[in-house]
Amino acid sequence: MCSLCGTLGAAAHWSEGGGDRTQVGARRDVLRERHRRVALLNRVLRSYTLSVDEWEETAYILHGPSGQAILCNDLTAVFAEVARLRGGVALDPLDSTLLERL
Amino acid sequence: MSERIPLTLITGFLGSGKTTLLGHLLRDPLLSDAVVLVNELGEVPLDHHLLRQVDEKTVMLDSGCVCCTIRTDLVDELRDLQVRQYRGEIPAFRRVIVETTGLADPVPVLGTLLQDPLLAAHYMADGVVTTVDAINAPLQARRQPEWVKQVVVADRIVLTKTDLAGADQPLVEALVRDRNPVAELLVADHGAISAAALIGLGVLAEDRRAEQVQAWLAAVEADPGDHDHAHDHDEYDHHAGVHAFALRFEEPLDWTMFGLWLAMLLQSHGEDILRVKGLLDTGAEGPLVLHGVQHVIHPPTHLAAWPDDDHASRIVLIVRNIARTDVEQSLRTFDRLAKPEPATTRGILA
Repeated sequence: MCSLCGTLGAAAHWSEGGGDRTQVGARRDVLRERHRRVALLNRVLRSYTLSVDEWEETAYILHGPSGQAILCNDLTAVFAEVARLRGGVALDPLDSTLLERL
Repeated sequence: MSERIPLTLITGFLGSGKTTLLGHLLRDPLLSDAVVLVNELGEVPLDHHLLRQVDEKTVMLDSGCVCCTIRTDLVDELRDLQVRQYRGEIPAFRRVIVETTGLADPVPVLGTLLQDPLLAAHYMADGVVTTVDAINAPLQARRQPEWVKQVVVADRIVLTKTDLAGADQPLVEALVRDRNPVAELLVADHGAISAAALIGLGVLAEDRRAEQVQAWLAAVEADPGDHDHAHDHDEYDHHAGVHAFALRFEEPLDWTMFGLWLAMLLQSHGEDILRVKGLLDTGAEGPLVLHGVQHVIHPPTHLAAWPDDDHASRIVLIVRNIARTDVEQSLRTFDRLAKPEPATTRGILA
């Protein structure tokens, strides 16, 4: 559990791979990948006036169009919150409009 | 981590012969050290020293989808079994069999094993066995979404009552194959079938993951039916829109973007992405093995080496009402986005 915010540590999300975080080098790789994930995610989200930041290697902060900041544990939570901010409409990677924007 | 205890899930629609099958399986010495969790002690007597009854109780998680519910009854029971075994109150057990009710969705059981940290450390899904009543399958396939889900997630399908189905049996087999071309189809003789054919499947065992994907690819490629007909509405009616297809990518896929894409796809179409299995070339020495049932994606593992000379990424999906071309185009677009633009020579040539 995080002593600051009381968040319970969950098992790593499947998308985070299987790196051993106890190894210094591996931990650096995990962090690098998390920042790269954020960069890629922001390329998808930017046309929806949304953005994401990495938070302490444990979570992501989703920024909404009216200044909301939502703590999300993993990618699944990020996309669930994105859908909530869009009135229940999930971002659909099969949507041709989204693909054209990319 | 000590070796995890394999858990076999036996499911099947009402009256399809789950308990009769279980009764036969429990006579097999292979199950002498198994714990058996049943939902109800029904008319068919089950004789086993570690038979326990659980009441299916589910708790929905924040995501609100059915497959992400937690079976709290199983969490309590499986935790309790570990504690009691540790204290020596029950004999040591080496496998668990869970029989669901006839209307149950089997996916939450698989999700529960991953979601609960203690269960994830001590148990591992061994496989899903689904009984299909050969007499009533055509009607159930049309009217019961639970039937479709139980068939689609199966690793082994056991046809029952085939002695009564007679000439209709090949039609029922085709009906089942249309929805799940990757499961092995077996026929029970009055409930009797070899336990070895259903137990110890090891669908998530690391040393068998590549083999499992190859079996899926072979099944989809060998299937003579056209399974890419998601825009054909007559076929929707016939197959309930469920079809399987394989995608192939010659260039390495960007894993970070793939994870992002799949998480997004599951958020928007999770109810219709029924299963996914694949060997992915992510630029490493060996492939990354992917295995998922609806929203339940198992932690992917890297293999040290490819199982054969084909090093292309290959992904098999079983989906409902989603076209193969849409999925392929989407993944290619996302993957391209993650890769640097090819260097232009215009400036040099000018």
